Amino acid sequence: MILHSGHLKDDHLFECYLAARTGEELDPRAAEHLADCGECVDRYDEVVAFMNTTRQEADAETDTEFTAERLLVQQQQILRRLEHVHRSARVITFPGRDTLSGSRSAGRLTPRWLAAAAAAGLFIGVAVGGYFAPERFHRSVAQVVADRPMAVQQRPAAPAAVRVNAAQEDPPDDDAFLIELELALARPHTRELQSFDAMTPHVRDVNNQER
Amino acid sequence: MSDHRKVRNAKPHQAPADTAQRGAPRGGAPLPPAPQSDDTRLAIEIRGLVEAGAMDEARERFTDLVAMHQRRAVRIAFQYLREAAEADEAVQDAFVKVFTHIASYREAWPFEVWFTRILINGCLDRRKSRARRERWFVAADEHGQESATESTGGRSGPNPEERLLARERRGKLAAAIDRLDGRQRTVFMLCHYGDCSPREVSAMTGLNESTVRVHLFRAVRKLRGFLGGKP
Repeated sequence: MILHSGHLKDDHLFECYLAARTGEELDPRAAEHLADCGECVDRYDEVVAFMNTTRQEADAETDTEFTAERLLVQQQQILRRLEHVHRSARVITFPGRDTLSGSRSAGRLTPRWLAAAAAAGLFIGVAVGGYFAPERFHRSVAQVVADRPMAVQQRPAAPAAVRVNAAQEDPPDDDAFLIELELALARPHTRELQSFDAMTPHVRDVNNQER
Repeated sequence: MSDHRKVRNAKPHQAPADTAQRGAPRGGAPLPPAPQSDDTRLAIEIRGLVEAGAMDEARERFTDLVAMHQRRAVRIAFQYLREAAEADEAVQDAFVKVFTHIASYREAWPFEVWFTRILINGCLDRRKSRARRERWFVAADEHGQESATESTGGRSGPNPEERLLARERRGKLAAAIDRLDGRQRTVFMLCHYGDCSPREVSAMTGLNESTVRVHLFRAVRKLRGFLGGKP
């Protein structure tokens, strides 16, 4: 049943369009009806016009985006990519294992011996230093801290106005606290190194003594 | 899901071999033995050259094949992806894939069918990955993109008003096509923009030919409705 209330159904109209486009044979009954019925011809023309418009729009849009030059470039890019197809990848050979292992052992053993010798030297140095000057070695960090304010007191005197201001703004306790804080920040934080730090003269102490 | 899975399930480079064994993909009617088209003959020739190891000659002959199908491929890919750069890449990928797998091509099906299948699969992959990207990142400024292409294109012809109207019309059409069901969209694209007959689309998608016709009719009816015409 291709007729609906005396006219072709929409799907049959569309079949007619498809048949005409692809060159298939048209349904004889539909062809006969289309030849006689003006209303169906108008509907058919609407379908054809819609399809043609959408197709033309798509073609125009594609042509605008893909110009002849762009298509040519695309062709060249495809050919460039094809040059690498079916061609095995190049493998870069690396040096052999024997050479590697030899150089590795030579390169690694030397620093190990060096590190061991340096550690032994340090240990011997500390032990000898402790043996010959035990009182300096065992001097506590607290003593060092207690010595520091003396160095601070030896600073050149500031102008009177400044001194007054400083006295007003920084009470003596605060000053000591700040010095202590500075020293605490300056000295090494690792416990094992604190004794070494205590027995090492500091540049700033020497400078202060010279003044 | 939709036609996407149908097209995807049949691997492009395996499809001709399958069809040679089984006669036709699931749902698709076998094409009647027809005289080989120029592109099919050329593809067979290239396959022979590749098998013989004459790669340079094969590449040279492949250029003709590219020239035959490039415009149509670009039209399908661009309508599918709606982005020139991505369509460009999709077309390139499809041609490279064809050349890479040319040894598995069987002449049981026209070359055009085989190639379109590969192209559509690539486009579907790209659409999927784009949707994934858009879930995480902000979409590109389409307006900016369009103005950029216009400024570089130096297009002559219609005046700015006509260009604007044409752009609006195309935008509406693209949005309407995007609103179609996946299967209907693919069938419409292949038939209308890819110049494929319902039988060829049936071979590409694995759908029955009558199903293809129904999808195509419904797609057109919906599009006319979306675009304000008579549904």
